[in-house]
Amino acid sequence: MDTLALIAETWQTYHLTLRTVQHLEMFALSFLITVVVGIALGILFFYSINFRMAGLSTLTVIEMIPDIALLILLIPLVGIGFPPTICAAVLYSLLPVARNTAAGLRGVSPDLIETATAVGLNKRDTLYHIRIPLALPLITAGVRIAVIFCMGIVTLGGIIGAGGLGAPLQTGITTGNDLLILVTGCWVTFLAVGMDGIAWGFGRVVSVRFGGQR
Amino acid sequence: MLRMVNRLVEPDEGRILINGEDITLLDPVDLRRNIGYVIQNIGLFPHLTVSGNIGLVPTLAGMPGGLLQERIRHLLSLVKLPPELFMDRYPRELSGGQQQRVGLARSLAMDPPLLLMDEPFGALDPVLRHQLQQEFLGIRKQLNKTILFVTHDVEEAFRLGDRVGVVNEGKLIRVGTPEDLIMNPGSSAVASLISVEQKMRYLDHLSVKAMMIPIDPSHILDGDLFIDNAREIMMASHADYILTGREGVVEGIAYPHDLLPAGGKDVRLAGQAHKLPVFDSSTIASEALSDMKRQGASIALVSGPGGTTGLLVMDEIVRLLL
Repeated sequence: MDTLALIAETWQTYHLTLRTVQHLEMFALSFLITVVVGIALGILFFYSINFRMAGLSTLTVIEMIPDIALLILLIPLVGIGFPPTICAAVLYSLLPVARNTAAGLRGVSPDLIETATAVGLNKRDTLYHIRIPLALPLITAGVRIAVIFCMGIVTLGGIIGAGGLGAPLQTGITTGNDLLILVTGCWVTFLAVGMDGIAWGFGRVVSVRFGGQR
Repeated sequence: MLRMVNRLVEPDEGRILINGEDITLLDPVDLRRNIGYVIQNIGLFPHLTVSGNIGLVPTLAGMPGGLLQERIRHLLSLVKLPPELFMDRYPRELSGGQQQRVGLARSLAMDPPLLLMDEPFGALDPVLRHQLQQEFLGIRKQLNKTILFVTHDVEEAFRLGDRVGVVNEGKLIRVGTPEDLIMNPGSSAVASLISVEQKMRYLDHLSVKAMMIPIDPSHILDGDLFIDNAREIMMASHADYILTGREGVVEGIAYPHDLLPAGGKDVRLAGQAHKLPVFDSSTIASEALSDMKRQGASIALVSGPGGTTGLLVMDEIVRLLL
């Protein structure tokens, strides 16, 4: 009982509810931007080989920068706190979404594409009604990786003053508050695993519905 | 070849005309929507239900929902898939034959005047293929459309085609009715393709018209003649038999010994002649033959629009076929 009371007190003192809301806000924003921009980039990559080469190498280079370094590199460009965190999370997570989208669109069986053309679908209809639906299982797999990446970067954003659950972690480290580190750490882990689980479930549904192309 | 008709492949030379219009001048998307397309590997979209597959192009072309539903139901009934059971299924939940039926229904969705079929039954097992061919014949009658059908199976071509074209080494070397091709192959390539020496195999595709011996109407003797007179005519022309009848319609056959009975001055020819089975000239040869066999007849008559046109002689048919 003592332990529970202690945890509850820590939660109260460090406003962990508020921090969770901030955290999820940042996660949601960066995740949404990643999915929209990532899929759009993937479609562009699919249509233009040059663009694909340039875009994928750029994103890969970004991916190779250590995440803390990326956060700090962004500070002079977009300021401190919230903006660089969102930017870093998006930049980091774009690669799996964009790459998987392009691969999924390209991977649709040429026979089906020819059939689509033969029955009278133009290029745009083929993209919307055939390619994108059939690429969804692969796109979702990329999105699922993006969930983890966004979650991680948003937590890290606490170091550069973005708020969220990274902030109490940082406080715990600097003040040597082990209980705070433990409580926040466990809670962030739980959230991340939960998000991944939701993404996994969504991926299952999509694979069953749109997978299984011969 | 079919892919050139719907412009999946552009011809290197020459032109393709549909109802006199050069297809290269038409918008390819419009063109394709007005040409049904059925292929061997079916090509149903796996992420769409049966209705989704059939309705995709009509929806894109702006067909209103209510009308579309009705159309989907109509087409599914046409290909013998109960709409209530199949509309909401996905292609992977269907057997090969069912998928092919949906493929056919989809190709008819826009009610195109022209259908292209590229070995549509090629991937099916023989029993199913035969059944679908039969149904296809029925559907074809209801539809009244021009169908371009490519197949490697000569039997299939003869069973389903009104006119059959033979393509050899990329060249169209012969076009004709199945009967025409079997009886007059014209070139050794066609002859070896359909193995004409085994015409027996094609009895189902031949009409009695191709097997008959034509009759000259002037050789028909009036049934009202007395047999004495008939016998004289017969002797004079050294005939082995005579056909009797009226106004170009043969009613029977008579041999010399039929004309021998006494009282030849009063007995009329019609009374002495043997009746013969009669077939319409479009009767399928195999049916006529089994009919003759059942009746024990070795000779039969073939009647055309203007009267009797020919004789069907069992021995002669056997000689023709072997």
